[in-house]
Amino acid sequence: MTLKTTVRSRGTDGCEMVLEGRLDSNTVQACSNTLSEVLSRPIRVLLFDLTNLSFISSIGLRLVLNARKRLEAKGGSVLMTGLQPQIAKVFEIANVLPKVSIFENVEEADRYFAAMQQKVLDAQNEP
Amino acid sequence: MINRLNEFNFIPIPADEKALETARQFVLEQAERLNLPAPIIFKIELALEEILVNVVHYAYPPGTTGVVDVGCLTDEAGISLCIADSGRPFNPLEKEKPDLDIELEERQIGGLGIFLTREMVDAIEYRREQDRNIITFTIRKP
Repeated sequence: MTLKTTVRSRGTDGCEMVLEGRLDSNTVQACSNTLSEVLSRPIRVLLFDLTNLSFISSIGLRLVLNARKRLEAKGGSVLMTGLQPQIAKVFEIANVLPKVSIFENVEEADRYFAAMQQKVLDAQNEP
Repeated sequence: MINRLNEFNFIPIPADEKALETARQFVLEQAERLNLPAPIIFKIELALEEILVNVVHYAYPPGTTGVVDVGCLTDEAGISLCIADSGRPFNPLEKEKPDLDIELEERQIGGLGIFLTREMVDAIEYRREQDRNIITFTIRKP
């Protein structure tokens, strides 16, 4: 069993990481390398799309939380969407949900990024 | 459950980086006969990983590879796993409950994994016997 990680740019200063499969002790290293590369970009928002993530253990939880810490340190934020019930339960038990914003689905996240984009455009267009 | 270890199916696995995948395949094969729902399988896999990874990382001195025995017992009540090693005495259940309000990164290594495990299993026990660490846990069928 493996983990597939896809990275996409979102808007002007956002990024999306789609994690599919299992985020466990066997797969965390490759994901962590990708994440470091993503966090070295000048981004403010990172969205984890977990729709097709079937498993997470404590080491995966740490990865997400470390991303949040590093991004918040530079004024950014981490968002999550598509958590399957068991995945949500793990985050819930670890008491980290209130600190990470969660979208119900990718469409909701899309609207968030569109609104962010609009804000940037509005700011640019201001006289 | 620790009293019924003679009823468990055991396999010895080298306590290295590949141990988790080998143990996982073995346990999933054993669990298959119970036809358990996905949330229960999730709990089994999570508890297995957290306990086993502790053993792989901490039981034996760096540079040496010991053996970890992974055992499984399925019955009408559910599934029980046993993870046993001959490494230094270590009872992960003695770790204090992590303070969940403290930043995750500042929590003790291993503490979060054991905490999650305790939440996932219906019973868990540790015993030091004949120079072995023996952990058993049970997840009941819904």
